[in-house]
Amino acid sequence: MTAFLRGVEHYLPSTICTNKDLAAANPTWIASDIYERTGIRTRRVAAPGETASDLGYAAAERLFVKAAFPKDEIDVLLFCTQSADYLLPTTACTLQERLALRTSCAALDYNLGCSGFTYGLWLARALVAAEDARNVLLIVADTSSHYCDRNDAATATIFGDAGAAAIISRYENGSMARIGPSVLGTDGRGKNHLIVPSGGARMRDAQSPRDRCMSMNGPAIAAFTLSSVRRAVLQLIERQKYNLNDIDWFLFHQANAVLLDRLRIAMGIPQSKMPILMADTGNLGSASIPVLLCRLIEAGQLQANQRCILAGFGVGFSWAITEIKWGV
Amino acid sequence: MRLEDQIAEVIAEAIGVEKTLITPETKSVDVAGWDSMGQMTILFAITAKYGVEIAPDEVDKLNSVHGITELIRACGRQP
Repeated sequence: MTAFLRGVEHYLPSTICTNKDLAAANPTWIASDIYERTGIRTRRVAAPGETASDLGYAAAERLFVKAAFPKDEIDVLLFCTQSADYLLPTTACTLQERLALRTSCAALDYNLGCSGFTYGLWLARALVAAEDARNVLLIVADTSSHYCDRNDAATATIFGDAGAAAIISRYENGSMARIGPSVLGTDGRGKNHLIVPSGGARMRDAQSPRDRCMSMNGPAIAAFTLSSVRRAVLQLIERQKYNLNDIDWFLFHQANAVLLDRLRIAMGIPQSKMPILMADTGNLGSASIPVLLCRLIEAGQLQANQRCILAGFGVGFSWAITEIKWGV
Repeated sequence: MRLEDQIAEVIAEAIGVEKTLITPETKSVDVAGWDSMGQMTILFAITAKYGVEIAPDEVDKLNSVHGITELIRACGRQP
């Protein structure tokens, strides 16, 4: 048994942070240089006190309305975030209440970053295939900007915030796409290359204000992307007995426009097949792929029977590459 | 041309500085623009030119012409 994507929606917070805003706060930064190095002009950022679950909740409510999907048919809620409301309880429990899902609905958080959406598709597909669920609500959301040191160019210029929601269903009728197999992987040697050191059990109290912020080794993440992610994408294509030309869309986590373009060139993917749409959002972490999907759907660009490779990758290091076939 | 001289040219072009500013002895601390973002640009340039893969744990070597030359030699690649 396979699984189907019934719908996808997103929510972007209203506050906009421009390169000029960043340059004004950091006199040594030049707004045009930020764009040249990241491909980002503006980023959506959550307001103080606005949490990832707020963004995810808004996206899910939009989805239920847009897809005209009854909430009481959701059997499982998966919530992916790295900016949970509390250390405990799990944020998925609070979302079950806010969304008024059945109390017989299973709900759990999982902690992943930019691989989170494709990991969620893999998990949801497995639950549906095992006949443990008919319909899974997958919510991914982060407020990464709240963990950026505003004086750290490596992170403050990159990250924005968003929430996204998708329904993965056993039923083909009314669905958008068929969810295919995935290639997943983990390389914990990369754990220190993107990290918020404090707040967890290893360092409960910050030794310095910087410990509460993300520390990112951009070159190491770029090296990981150009090696491990590239190999994983090719592995899925080979496993499915496709070649690059059989793929209509390469929908990759929108990490950094310059990095993505380098990856595209290294893999020999035509520009027209690999959209890079992050200039007005920034890197949205786990929500970047569903936001990209929403934008392509709104633009009418995804057509029936098109094969898409979704590639989520980042912090951990962690990656999940998933095939979907559009318009089943 | 020696490999280190070639690499110095690649770095200068990547980060947009005069070629004369980058010699085989240059380190990142000597050059404005050879910061973390500059390292990424250099990574893109050398992986494209030499067709090599750089492991995440090797990126510290992108801090000097000497380190990058070592990386390329270790990969056994020269154009």
